[in-house]
Amino acid sequence: MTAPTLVKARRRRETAAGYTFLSPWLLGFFLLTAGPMVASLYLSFTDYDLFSDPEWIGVENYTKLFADERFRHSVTVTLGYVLLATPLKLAAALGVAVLLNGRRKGQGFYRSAFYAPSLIGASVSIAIVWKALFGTEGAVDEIGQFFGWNSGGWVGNPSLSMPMLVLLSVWQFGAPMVIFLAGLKQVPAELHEAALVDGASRARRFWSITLPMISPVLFFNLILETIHAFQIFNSAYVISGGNGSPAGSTLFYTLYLYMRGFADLKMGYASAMAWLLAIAVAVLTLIMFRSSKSWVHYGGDQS
Amino acid sequence: MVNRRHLLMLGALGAAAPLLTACGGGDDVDDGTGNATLNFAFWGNDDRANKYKQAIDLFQTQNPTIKVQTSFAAWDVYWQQRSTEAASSSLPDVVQMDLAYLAKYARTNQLLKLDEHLTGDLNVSGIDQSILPAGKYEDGTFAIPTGTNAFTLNYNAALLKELGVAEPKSPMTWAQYQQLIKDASAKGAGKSPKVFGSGDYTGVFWIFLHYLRQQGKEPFSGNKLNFTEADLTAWWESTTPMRASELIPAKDVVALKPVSPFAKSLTASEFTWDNQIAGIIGDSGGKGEFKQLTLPTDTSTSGLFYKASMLLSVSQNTKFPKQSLKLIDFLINSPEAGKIFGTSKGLPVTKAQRDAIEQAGTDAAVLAYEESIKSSVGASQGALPEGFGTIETDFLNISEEINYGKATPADAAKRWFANAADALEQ
Repeated sequence: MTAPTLVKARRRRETAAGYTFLSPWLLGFFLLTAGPMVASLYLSFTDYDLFSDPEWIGVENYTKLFADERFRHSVTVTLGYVLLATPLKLAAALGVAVLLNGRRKGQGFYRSAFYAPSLIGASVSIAIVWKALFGTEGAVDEIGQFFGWNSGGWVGNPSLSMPMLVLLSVWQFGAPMVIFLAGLKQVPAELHEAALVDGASRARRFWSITLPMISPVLFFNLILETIHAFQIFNSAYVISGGNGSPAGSTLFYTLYLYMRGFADLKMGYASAMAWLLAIAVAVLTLIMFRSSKSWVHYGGDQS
Repeated sequence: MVNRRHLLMLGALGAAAPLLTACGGGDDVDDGTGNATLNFAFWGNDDRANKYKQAIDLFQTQNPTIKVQTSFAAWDVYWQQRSTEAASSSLPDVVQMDLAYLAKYARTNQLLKLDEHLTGDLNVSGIDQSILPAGKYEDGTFAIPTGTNAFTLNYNAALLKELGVAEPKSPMTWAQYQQLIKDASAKGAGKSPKVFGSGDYTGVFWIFLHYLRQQGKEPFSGNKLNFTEADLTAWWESTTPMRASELIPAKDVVALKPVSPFAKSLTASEFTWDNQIAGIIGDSGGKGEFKQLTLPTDTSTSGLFYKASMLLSVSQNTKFPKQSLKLIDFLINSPEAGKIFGTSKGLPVTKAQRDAIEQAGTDAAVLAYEESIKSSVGASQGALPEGFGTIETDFLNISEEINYGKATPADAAKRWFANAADALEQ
């Protein structure tokens, strides 16, 4: 055998081995992700209640969606949440990351302590604790009363229930914080030193050096957290008792989708909603990528 | 020590076990003599699960060839589980059924038609002839009621006494009932926390349905609504003047969920199904003295009826129909089972079970209440229209918006009717 064929055969073997090692993931992807996605795309054009066979109805689900007042309401609620929770969470993550970036005693402890909530925050039990904290006569209400603010509990108040969920999300800033910390470590110290020599203030150095230098990390976190925020479900489901109460103020897109699918058994309708959400998030991500050219600076870039 | 290999083996065994049992069964339907393992699912809480466990242990000792595996979940989750099982025709052999879902499961051939068995394996001769048809869909019987509920107005006698308000007597008019609420709320305004006469009862769909019956209107005809937007608007407007200060604010109710403010002595009265009094007493922590009255009415009819509850059905795909029927027969006829459940599933449908209940506590109260309304009840409720669950939930959600001042009764009624038209179409 000649040398090139040997190399070729070896490469083929390696490819085969690679796919073999990948096969559990590939199987999972095709059976559990891609397959159901294609199925739901089909279902979104049908009337399907789990009991009878799906019945093709064309785009009726989609036209119905745009006439559905609760659907429009859920879009408003979700957009409001995303616009509020994402920037606040990123600001909190960046702020704490900057504070933890310096060398100080026990920094390992602080980092773990601030990271911990994002490990447990999405769980059902934390949602229950949150509900108890912010309920009537809960800890937050008691503290508020001490300062003369009689909120009567946040859980039952339509104008406070959303801020309560935003707080829950902001509290879980640990994951983006860790990524910010890694980014901050990469900012060259000489830039800061040079600016210091020129007499730049702390704020100026942050604004003109740190922020541009970590913009790729900021961009990454922004995308991740935006997508994450669109998917809020667990906490809203638990705290609202599964119906978006009070007065529909926590009727998130995913929650409404779930109600339509599993409570009302309108699986076709729910599938259509799922696809609209997927498309909307994809478009939004695309827009963010486009805009990134003007504000994200990668190392070595001249622009 | 358990090492990884052991765990893997256990995992593999666990994964293979259902396969093995599935292979063992084959597709043959058992003639009722062989060994059988039945799956039985019901909705409820720990308390009900304990009672079922006791009853089923007894059933298994009496029928050594039958094993029963139970599973239970809360109401919402229960129906989500059943609907996904129905999609793959794999319902448990015996399922607890409700009038709100009977039509859907019967129409789509998920349930076994029971008519030919009603004289043989399953003895229903003890069930009142006005209750048994509740399990019918079109011309077949697909479910057997195990209990009945009736609606009631509960009031907290201890709380009223504390407030200095006289106890109500039935029958009241709706105006008299509203006056009672106003009196209690006026006296309770100075308390901390404030005490109210009632919550906004117009948000409960079942109360509205009773009100319609009082007016001589049957709420549904088949899958159609038999009342108008104007009826509903008027109903929601009937408490409008009281919402500002005489009814407990919605935010307090929402924050307390799933416990009702009535159980916590924050309101003096509340409408519920009569068997729910046990849950209220459980939540109350021993505070309060609860009594039951018939509903307020402006006509000569009470609007009350017996609603069959906790029906039992056999799934179409069962391999053990005979054994399944035997289990249902036991659950509706056995005096011992009757004694175990008391009135927790509603008043038992057979006299044998009613007589077995010890006359004490809430059981005695429920028995006495259902006995007292016997002469005034109307026709029993049959299968509810498909989509009932959806329109009932929607009723509660939309009326909550009225309470938060986010919708007027007229707008709310309009929206509810639009949603209902969508939910009730087949």
